[in-house]
Amino acid sequence: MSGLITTIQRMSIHDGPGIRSAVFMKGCNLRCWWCHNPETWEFNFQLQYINDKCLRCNDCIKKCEIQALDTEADGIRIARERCTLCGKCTKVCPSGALTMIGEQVEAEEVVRRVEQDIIFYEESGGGITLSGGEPLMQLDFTKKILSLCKAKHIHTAIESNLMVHPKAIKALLPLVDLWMCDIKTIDPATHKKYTGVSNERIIKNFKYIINNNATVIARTPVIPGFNDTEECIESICKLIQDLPVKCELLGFHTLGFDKFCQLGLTNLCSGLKPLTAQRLSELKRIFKKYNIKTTHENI
Amino acid sequence: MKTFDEKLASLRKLKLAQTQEKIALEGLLDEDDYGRIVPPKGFWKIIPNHQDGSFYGFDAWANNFCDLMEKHPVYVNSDDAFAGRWMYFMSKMRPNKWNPEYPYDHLKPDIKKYDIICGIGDDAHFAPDYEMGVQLGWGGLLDKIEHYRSINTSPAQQHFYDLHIKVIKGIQGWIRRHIEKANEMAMHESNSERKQNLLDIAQTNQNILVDAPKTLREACQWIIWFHLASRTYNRDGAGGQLDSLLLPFYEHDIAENNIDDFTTIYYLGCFLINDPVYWQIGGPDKNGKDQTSKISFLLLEAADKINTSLNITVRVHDGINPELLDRSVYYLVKNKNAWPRFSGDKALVKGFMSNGFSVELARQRIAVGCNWMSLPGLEYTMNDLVKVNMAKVFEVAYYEMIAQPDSEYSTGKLWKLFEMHLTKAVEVAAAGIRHHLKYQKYNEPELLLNLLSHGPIEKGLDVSDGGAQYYNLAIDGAGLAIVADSFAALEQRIETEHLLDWDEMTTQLKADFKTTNGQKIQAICRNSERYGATDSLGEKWGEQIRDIFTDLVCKQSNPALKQVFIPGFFSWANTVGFGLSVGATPNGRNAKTPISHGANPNPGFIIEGASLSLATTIAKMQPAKGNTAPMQWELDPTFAKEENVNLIKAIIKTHFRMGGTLINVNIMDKKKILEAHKDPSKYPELVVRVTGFTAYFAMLSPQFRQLVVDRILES
Repeated sequence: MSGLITTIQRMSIHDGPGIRSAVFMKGCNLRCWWCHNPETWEFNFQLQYINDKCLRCNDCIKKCEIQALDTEADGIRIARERCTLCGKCTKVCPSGALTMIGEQVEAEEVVRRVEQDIIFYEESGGGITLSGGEPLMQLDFTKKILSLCKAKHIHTAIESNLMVHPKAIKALLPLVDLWMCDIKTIDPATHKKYTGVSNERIIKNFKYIINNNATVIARTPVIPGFNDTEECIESICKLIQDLPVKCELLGFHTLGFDKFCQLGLTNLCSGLKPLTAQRLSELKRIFKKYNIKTTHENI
Repeated sequence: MKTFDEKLASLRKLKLAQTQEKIALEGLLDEDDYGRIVPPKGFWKIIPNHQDGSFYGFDAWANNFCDLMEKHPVYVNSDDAFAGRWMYFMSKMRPNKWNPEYPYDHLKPDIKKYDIICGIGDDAHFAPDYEMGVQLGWGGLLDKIEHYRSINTSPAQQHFYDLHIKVIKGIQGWIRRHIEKANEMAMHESNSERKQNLLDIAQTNQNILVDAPKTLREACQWIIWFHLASRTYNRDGAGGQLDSLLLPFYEHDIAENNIDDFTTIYYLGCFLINDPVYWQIGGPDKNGKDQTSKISFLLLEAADKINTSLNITVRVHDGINPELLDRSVYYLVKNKNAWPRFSGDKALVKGFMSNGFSVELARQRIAVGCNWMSLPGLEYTMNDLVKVNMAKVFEVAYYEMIAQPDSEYSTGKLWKLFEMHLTKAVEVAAAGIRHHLKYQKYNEPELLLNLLSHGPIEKGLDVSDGGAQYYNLAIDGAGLAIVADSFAALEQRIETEHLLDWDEMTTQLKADFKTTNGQKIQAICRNSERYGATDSLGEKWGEQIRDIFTDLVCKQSNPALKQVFIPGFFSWANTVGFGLSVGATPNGRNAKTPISHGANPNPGFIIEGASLSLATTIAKMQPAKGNTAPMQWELDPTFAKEENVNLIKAIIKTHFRMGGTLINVNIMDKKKILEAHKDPSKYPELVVRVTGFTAYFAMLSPQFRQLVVDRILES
């Protein structure tokens, strides 16, 4: 069983407890404006071009058989509509400026790479986290990885937007030690505007997981202009105040902005400033008011 | 009235001023701070006994040292609990460090060819037994010498003892002058508290002038005198198991109600600020029992209060007191000042035992030097003194192959040549050590370290000349990542991918990549599968280099002479100097730029998860014979926060579980280090762990600062 991933990040410390390996699955069914991993959106390979690394040697242009590459004033221009993603240009790029995002890989190979760090997981209480992208969009692949990890006693976590059929969740419940699920906003219309989908199914699935005694962390990315009001956070608190879950507020940042340009994508949050630490602290106090437990406060 | 904290703060401020004065008057120095202060100009000069202007042999060393002891300025500060500072690098004041009567011209061509730091004429770098010192005191040491003087009666032995007696009396004279000075200062001091402290300093020193120390203050002062004298003699900076060493005195004072923990922390703060000697805390005793005690924690608290360029190592073993490790990492993260560092008991003990030693002895071999372990008082080691520049050996092999017909070019052929030249280089390094052992007593006897060693006084022989119980001799390899990455780049880019050919590579190396397409070729080389990345070609070659180097060094051992040669990977501050002698290398490194550090990968070896890759790779690359291949860890300050102490601890413990031996850590904000590099005077308190040692960043030369900056920026 193989699947498409972007990367396996060793020593991930923001995706669950302890030292973890985060496997980023490629392909997502949402298009959140603030996403900092746009390279995980497509269910296909993507060509990334990092201008700062480019030596202007033009070897890639010479190599491209369909003339999808050309020079421009400051580097290389990619005619993405023509590009067949053959990857030949990346093979001759000496500096790594052109890279193909995406790796088709067997579940066994994922686990082989991850298990080199079992010793770190043991010492730190860490494990593997399947992230993305949306891991549940590659259900069989995800299931296989999780099964293999469970067999090796590796702690498993999954980061999901929950915009999937409940059957998919049910299939994974016995294999996941920790669910990290986004609750972005309670309001369906706002949710649809900024992610492309409404949130009824998400909230229903969220409750379904909790009702099945799963360990859950509800994560709320706090985005200026989208959900950074007291009212919005309060409404989330009201949803979860009596549920056995922990919560995290994740402050909006701009670290992924460069990737949009590198992938030829439009950044709808362009110009938006990171959420200040002060504002995040103010909003976190609301959770305390509702007596809701939070996990590491610095995220 | 000043509180203890105020006194320590005042001493810390003075220490920074002294460091600034050192930089202003003596210039920059790519070395440890040593706690040394600037002597008055032209105050003391060496007394040569050779036409080359240097001095050699027993008499000359004793004469020079005792003359200096007689004249050395005294140092008493009314805020300090202890008297004394050292000022003179006596051994470095000689124009020549090796007695020309014992030439090694036969080795010099190969030493140069392979850029070997041969260690001939180098000194110290093994550990004294301070426990013996505080048990006997100066009077007890004199009695011990007299005892063996009556047994070993040859003229040479009698002379040997005479000179050691002379040395001790010289030190006692130095101490006596401090007693006089403290009394004199007390007489003129109007502040009653300061007056009392000065009188206490005088009395403490009077009590240990002959007798062994009885109190914590006396024990600390006695240790200070020995290391000040030994530093002055030949820069020796080895310490010992400090918590166990001081524990009986602390317990005695507590039982007698002489001190409380506030006073203890003040004493320990004054003790630690005196000199950044390498001390170990925690770790097992010879029976495996954890040595952590109350005073281990008090030492950390005292270190936190002075927060200077400290060289405290915490020994991590299975039975470590978990709270000690917690506190150690907490202080590392809190101060971000590169202390403490951590040594890994499991692999060190197992490795040392593989040379045929017992587990009890292996546990006593503790972290008391830059990269090194030593059995206090039991062995002579030449630790951190002998290094083979493997990048240079690689270069010799490469150009030898290139001089042959091109049908012969391959990484297989190059490896054979590398192996052949590395064999020769290690043989030459070992021959240099043997030459040193044979003649060092005629060059620079260890008149100070002999006193706290078990054997030299008993046998009437210098520690370098059969006096020691064990000769566990270190040879370190340097430039591992440069060589591994170079082999990997050649295999991948020439042999597998055919992106380059051998002629093109040689052209680029000779031109230092400064050709029309040089930048492109250099990028191709630099982006090959690098050492440090999992399952990479670089790692494969690294393992081959580890195995051959380990094997070659171990083969130099000679059981008949009780000489055990022990390999390690370490380059100390020689990364710059070694780099200067090596042209461009196939890994894309430019000519004359620094070589890689110890067993560390080249900076920028991986984009994500660098800490785990580093910890995994370096654990894997250990020669595993009891010496170290340290992990030089540039820790990102965004990670190195209090809430992540448990994760940092987990990496430390895991590295040691996997076979790691020593971890040196820097936690440096990238912006801050760049600003400090631009104007070091703005950051006089900034401490970095350059290699095994810490240094004030402002004291480093611009070139060396650049090296540290590069490492941190690319971490």
